[in-house]
Amino acid sequence: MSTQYTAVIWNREKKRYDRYLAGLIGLFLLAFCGLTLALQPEITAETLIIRATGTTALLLLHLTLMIGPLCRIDPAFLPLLYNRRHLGVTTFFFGLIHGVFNLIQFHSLGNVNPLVSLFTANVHYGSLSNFPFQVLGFGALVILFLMAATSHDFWLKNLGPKAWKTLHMFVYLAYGLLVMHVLLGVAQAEHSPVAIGFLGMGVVTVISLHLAAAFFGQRGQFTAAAGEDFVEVCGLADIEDKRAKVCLIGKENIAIFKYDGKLAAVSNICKHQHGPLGEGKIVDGCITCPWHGYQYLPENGCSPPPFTEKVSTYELKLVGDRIFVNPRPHPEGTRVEPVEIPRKHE
Amino acid sequence: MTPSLRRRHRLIWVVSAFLLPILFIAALWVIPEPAIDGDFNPPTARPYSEPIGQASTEAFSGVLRRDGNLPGWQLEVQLKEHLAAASIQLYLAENGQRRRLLGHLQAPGSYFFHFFPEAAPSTDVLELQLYDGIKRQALKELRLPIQGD
Repeated sequence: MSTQYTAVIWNREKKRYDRYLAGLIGLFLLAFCGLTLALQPEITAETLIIRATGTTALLLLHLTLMIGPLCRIDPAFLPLLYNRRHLGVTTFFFGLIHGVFNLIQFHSLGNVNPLVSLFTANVHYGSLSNFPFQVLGFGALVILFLMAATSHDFWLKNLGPKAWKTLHMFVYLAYGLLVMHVLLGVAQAEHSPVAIGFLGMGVVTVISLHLAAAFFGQRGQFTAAAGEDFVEVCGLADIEDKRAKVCLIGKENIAIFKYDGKLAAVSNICKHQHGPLGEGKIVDGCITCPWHGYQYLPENGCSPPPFTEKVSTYELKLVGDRIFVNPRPHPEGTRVEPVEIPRKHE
Repeated sequence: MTPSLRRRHRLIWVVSAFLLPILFIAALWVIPEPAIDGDFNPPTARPYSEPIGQASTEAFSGVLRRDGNLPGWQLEVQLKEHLAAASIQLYLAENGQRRRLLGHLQAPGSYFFHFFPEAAPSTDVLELQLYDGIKRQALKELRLPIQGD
């Protein structure tokens, strides 16, 4: 969370994460190059660079895509989500090196512009086996470029979270294009069951995690139709201290927090990247978004000064140990007195 | 994440769960036959004793050999120059059409391939084709007459 734009935000945690990332990528590259040279000693340096960077980019994209659903399934993975942006940009840079070397190696030796050659050297667009698979990789690289270029909070602020999120969902298209790029390219020429096996495992893992998160990641969320003034949501015991219960009433996505012997309800949607506030917790008296740490005061939905973000607040009432919420939102930043929990229920 | 965004995610991945495996299998289905010998012999391989055919062009040359004590034929291909292609595949061809993949060539140098005579489309002439696997086009061809017994 910051009041001004910085080219790259590196706090202590992100620096540590980036060191791990760089170290693991270095180890992977060493292992990949060593193994390739041992198995194919005749390989040229250019081909080795192309294969190593392409494989690294594909691996990093798999990891990037796994983090989101893993966090939905188990909050223990949330620190990875906080640092995911650097992983995504790193993926693009490896893809870019792979793409540039490909253009040089495969398309710069003729008398046609390499970019034109990329689209015209092979025009078997109607054939699956001879499909110009490099075009698929190029398409994926363009998407990754747009995502890396707009990954900064400056673009998030100026495009708006909705447009920004929509743009970044194109990563799924990029993933599909890259899988087909590999299957119609290297898999056709190399016949390597190991490479195809690893790719198959990656695809199955990514799809399974996303489906699991989509269908099982919302267990425990309360859902009701709109219409009543106050809707019974849950019991006091259903909410852990400093945590929230999320409820979807009509179109209102509400997070009810229990903290310091009180209850307060705010919109479940963070102003930053529409992260799920209800999956976060109270830290230093503030609701803290699990995605990137944006904070809001539970009683008025305002970020603590000097920050200016605000979310809607909701009325609550406690009848016995049952919690009721009024799904009509107050304007963003409106103070609503938290409900005191009687001592006998604490 | 907003409920509508969650629904969009769910829809995307349900569609992907059907589409990606279908495309995956379709792509595996069209993988051409693997190289006859799986892979070529290392450059340090010892040439078989009896040459039974050879031919040469500016780009590459080939020597076909056999050995009375060993089964099959051995083809030595020498790539003489850098070709304007980075992915070079060597095929046994018939009338200019690729028939069987022998293997992959990288930098100029000697490569050895092993195969049985049944794999060759003709027992009179061994037709070799260098093929660009990226641009999907033939690069060079060589006709290598085979001497009979």
